[in-house]
Amino acid sequence: MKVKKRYRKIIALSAAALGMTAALHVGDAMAYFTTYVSSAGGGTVSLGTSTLIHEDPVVNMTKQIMVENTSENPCFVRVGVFSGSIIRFSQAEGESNWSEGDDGYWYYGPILEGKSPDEETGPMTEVLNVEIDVPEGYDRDDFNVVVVQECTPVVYDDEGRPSADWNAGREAVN
Amino acid sequence: MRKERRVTYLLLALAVILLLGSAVGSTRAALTYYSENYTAEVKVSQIGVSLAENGNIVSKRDYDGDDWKTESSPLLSNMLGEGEKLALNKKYEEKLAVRNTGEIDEYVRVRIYKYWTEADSDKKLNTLSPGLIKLNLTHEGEWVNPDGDTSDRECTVLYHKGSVPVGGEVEFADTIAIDKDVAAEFTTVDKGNGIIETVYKYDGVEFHVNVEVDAVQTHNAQDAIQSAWGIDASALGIL
Repeated sequence: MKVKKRYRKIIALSAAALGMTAALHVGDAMAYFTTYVSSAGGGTVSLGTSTLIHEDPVVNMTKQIMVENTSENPCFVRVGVFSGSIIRFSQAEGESNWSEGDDGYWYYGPILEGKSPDEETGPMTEVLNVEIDVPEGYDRDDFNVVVVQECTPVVYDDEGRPSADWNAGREAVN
Repeated sequence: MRKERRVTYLLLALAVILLLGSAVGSTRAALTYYSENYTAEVKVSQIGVSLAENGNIVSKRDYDGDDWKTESSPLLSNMLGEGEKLALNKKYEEKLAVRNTGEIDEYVRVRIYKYWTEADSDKKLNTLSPGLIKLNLTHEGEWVNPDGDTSDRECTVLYHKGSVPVGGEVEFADTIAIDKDVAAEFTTVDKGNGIIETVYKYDGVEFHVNVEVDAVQTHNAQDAIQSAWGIDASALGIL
């Protein structure tokens, strides 16, 4: 009886081992032809600008204004000339790239290119001549003229033309 | 008794002789059975793929003979001219295409990664959207983007519909531009003496575009694509 029991155990274990072996499935060893490539690149966004306004003293009731780009990045510039209500302004004679906007600013049309690192001075705008016309009865030797200059980066519009977006952006909160 | 033993010895000797004879015979047969030498060449299918930028191959990996032939150079290296500064919103030519430079047809997919890093650093900048790097994707009818519009995401995956024949080329982008919103935040500082300085929050940041192209054989394509890319090609509509 004892022997029979032992044999039964061996037979059962053998059957289990056989069953497990049969259940083992060797996966298909499949290989496919594949290949790959990759490439990467990029660039730097250089934005900072610095502009310098050149104002000559008033001579013959005319003020001459020029703006110099002292940074390496191209930009558009505009100039605001404010003086209260006692004087008027007019542009000097001849062709000029300056034009007066509806908002009181004077806009310089061409891109003011960036300064070359090898040069001491940067590209400058043409001269904006502002003739000051003091009405009769006012003091011609005592008046104030405030000049404000601004610049903005060159951006391209949908048609691919360089343009200035003076309303874009906001002062960063530091 | 002696007679029986003699018979036994005789039979044993005979058996040994027979055994030796048969062995020599088979050895001879084996020696004379060599055939002439033949050289057989089995040509393995040679798969290859390349990434082309503005008509020039920038990266290539082709199986050639018994080795991989590879070439690699960076993207966007000719985007700007000598001394030229990047202009915002300007569309620069960036025609990107996959070219089948192998000897068998293949299915291809493209993975595009766009991201920003801080100025003079490899550290990723997460406050600027990858969408400000405007890589204009083309031939949209020829590619499947299972995730829909991914222009604002860091990664875009495109699967080409149908196989690309040997020597064929499929384009997926044509221009790149950096959105003007990257200059949206700035500070203006009056430095005195007529100098006005505008400092932009994201001045000096770097944009990056990485492109990865994968190719798979067309034979048994459903299983091959499932194995290589883990997708159901039929369900995606690319077979």
